[in-house]
Amino acid sequence: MPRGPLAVSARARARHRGIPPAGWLALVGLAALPALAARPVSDLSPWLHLRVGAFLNAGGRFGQPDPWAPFAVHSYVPTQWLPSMATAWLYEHVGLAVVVWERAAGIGVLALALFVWGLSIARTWLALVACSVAMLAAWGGLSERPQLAGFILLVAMLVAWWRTGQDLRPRWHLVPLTWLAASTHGVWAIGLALGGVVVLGLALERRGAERKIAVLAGLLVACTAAAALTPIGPRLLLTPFSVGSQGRQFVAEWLPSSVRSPAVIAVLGLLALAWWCWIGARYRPELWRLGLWLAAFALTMSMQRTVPVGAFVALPLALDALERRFPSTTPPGLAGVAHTADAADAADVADAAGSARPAGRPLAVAALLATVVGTLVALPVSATMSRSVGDVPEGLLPALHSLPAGSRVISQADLTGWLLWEAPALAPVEDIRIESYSAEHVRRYIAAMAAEPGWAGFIADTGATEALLPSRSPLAAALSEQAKWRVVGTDRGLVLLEAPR
Amino acid sequence: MTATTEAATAPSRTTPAFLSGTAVAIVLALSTFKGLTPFTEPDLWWHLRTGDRLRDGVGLVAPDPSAGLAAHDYVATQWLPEVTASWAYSWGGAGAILWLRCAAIVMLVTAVYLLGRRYAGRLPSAVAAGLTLIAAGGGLNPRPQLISFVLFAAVLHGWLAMLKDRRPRWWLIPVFWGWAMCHGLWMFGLVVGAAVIGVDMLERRERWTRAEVRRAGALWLLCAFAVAATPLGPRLLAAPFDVAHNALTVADEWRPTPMNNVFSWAAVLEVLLCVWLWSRPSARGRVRTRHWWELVLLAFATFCILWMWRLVPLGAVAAAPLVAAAIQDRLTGRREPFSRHERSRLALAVAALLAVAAVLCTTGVGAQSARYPGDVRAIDSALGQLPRGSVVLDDFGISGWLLWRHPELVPAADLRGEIYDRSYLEDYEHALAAEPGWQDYLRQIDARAALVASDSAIAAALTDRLGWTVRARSSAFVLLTPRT
Repeated sequence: MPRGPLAVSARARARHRGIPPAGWLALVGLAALPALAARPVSDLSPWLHLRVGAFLNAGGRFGQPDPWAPFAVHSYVPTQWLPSMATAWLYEHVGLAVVVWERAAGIGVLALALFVWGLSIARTWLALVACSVAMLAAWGGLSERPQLAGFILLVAMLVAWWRTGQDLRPRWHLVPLTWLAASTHGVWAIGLALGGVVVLGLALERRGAERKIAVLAGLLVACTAAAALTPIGPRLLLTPFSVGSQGRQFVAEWLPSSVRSPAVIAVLGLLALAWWCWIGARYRPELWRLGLWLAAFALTMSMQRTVPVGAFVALPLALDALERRFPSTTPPGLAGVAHTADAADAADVADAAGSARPAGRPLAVAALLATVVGTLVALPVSATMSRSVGDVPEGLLPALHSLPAGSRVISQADLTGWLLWEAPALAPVEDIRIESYSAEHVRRYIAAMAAEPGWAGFIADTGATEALLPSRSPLAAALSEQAKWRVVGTDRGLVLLEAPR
Repeated sequence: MTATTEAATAPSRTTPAFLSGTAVAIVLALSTFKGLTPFTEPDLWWHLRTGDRLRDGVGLVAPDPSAGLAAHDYVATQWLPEVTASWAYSWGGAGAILWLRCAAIVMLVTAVYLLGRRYAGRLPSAVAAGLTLIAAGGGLNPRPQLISFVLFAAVLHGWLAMLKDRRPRWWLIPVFWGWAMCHGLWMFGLVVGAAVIGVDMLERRERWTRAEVRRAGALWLLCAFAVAATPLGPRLLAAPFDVAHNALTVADEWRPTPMNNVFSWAAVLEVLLCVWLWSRPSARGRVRTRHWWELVLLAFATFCILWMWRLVPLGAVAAAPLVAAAIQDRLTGRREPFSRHERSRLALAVAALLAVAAVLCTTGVGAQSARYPGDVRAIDSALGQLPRGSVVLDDFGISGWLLWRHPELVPAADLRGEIYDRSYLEDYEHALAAEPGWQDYLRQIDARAALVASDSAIAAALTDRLGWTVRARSSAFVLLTPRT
């Protein structure tokens, strides 16, 4: 039970049992967010996942030779099989609207998860502001891809590990949760690693609880085993490394992030705030919190694609630190606890949170209802939005469909996902599944796309007879000026070229 | 904790002299070694060329006849080191340039060590200086910016000294005056001074008197005035912004710092060490409240380290005293006083190292230190046969060497990006990538030759599509001319 300044009087709790103004604002935001987030399919990856899902649903299996691409030398591992299959199945019945709706609903659920997590740590208005900042920071990664579902599951994992850090109790539901996350997207590995950071931090500080920490280590092992027990099997444990090694060389979103990006600035702002509050309150953070802080910093700065994860980790750190630096005498959010610099023991916080939960529970339930309403409202909006798609040359589809089956096409890697879906009879010489190709092949492909010396050799070696490229690209110029390829058509800044017969 | 109580609880023993002395010696030796390593620096050559022209009597603001496609006069903002380097090169060749670089690096590390010694003992200061050497390593090439790093450390020393006793360091005025004639990063010296002194005034933990505030403000204003009082006059104040305008488009070092190399990792490690150690209790078992200036200085260092690749060394220098102090807090031994004996031994060690470096620079170490653009003798000879005034479509990196070695030719663009129109530079970049329209650009500038990377798109386009022939080549570059 909370003691001294941690205690919140029954009268104060009763006074704040209603939903505060910031809570109403959050409810309106959560109800409106899915509809506002609905947009025509703008990312190029979902087309690949539709193709993968349809292929798996039809009983297809990946192996060697690759069923779609003649130059893929590694068997493709469909690590995101669950959302891909589910979406492809729904697509058959609902059409493209399901892809639009999934993103809209996913964004709503993610915001809900972050807000309710924030409520469990800090006052309502603080939770609302921090959640908004984290959502803005993550926004660039919230596209029509299984990654969004992965983020939601990752937040659920982080919540569990965070609470374990506070009270050392194992959350065994992490085991099935990790299995689900591992069947959804590769981001599960980061969730597990952050769990490892928490356990390691606890172990280093000991706190006289070696048995509890041993149990937590067992939980980590069980989660790892769960990830190895998906239909992909134990090889799933190695895919983050194999995909990452190729990605870090060639894929923009795997490259180091820029501090000039607003998303990075937002996450660094949250982290700086957390740290400033710690030292301002002369609070000595436990090692696991410091470890998470460093992990969030590393995730934010190391790769563009992990900036959202950095935001999810920074959120509780900032809120927790703010409550310590500027303690409130009113029951905040779900936690209902007044932090002070002198009485901020983690166990006390957890006890207090448990005792005061009823104060914020109506808001959490209302937030859930608002999100449900929002996702329902997003259904007709998604249907409307799905009537158009962005950044794909639909005008070239008749020409693409008229090409002989098996025609080899060189195209921008991102665009090949759409090409695989819309023109499955064609064979791309390189595609968006970059990990399926040898590094040498990818290097030659990139050089060819830049029309560097050897590009003609790459075209000849791969037998490409069609090219779908940006009209202003070096390779488009080289093919038309030097190799005398014919322009078949243009659409949305892309040109379809055909080799002379 | 106040100084008095700190002194009362401080232990009597210090880090063993053998350990701390060895650490200092290693860091100084490493800095000398770093200074003597070969360098790959494309900018060196156009600085030498500018120095040559200035020694020939050309004005500080003048059109460059070699840059026939430039839209603006060149303003020689870095004229002092350029003239010095030009004189040194004509006297001692590449070895003299190497020695100047080595001397600057040793001075930088020494200055950073002295910064650390304000707050820490020998061992933590040596560790901070070593980390800074690694972090700054990516920018320690023979260019005027190297002087900026040294002077930044010196200026920071002055501002931090003022925090302690509030006495204005008037010597900062001539330092800023000299700095303004060397390189454009002087503005960061002014910014950091305003930041740390300003927040210390606002913190009011130990209130500044009005007289102290007036004196510090006057000093800062006089430093800014000194920058405007160089031979270039007040226009120098705007020069960094003019350079930045185009450099942001074409220069990699003006882009955000990528976290994929040892230099940025070392610099970030400095920041993270402060984050970690400030959050943990000191050796006396307390988490100390930080002064505002410490927070501001750390924020400044973090900004420099993350915001721009070329600012990483400045950020590393700014973080160094904080790192040294944070490590000192964790040590159980007390800080050694900075005695006259240590000062004289340090000066002697630096002088000895620079003397050894000077001897080495007269050997093959010096002669073969400039690795860029490599062995281009064949290209050099072929370029000499081109008609005077020929426009050469050049690789951006080698343009400095081309300007220096063949001032009779006209490069399509060169590393002094600020003298060209931005739209022109974009056309130039598109042409180098052989994007559609590259032939129009070639006709527009009437290029008679191309000095480009062998593996570039434009090299392939010129040979395969226009039939240009190879006149000469090196391992990295190829000189192409139209088929006659």
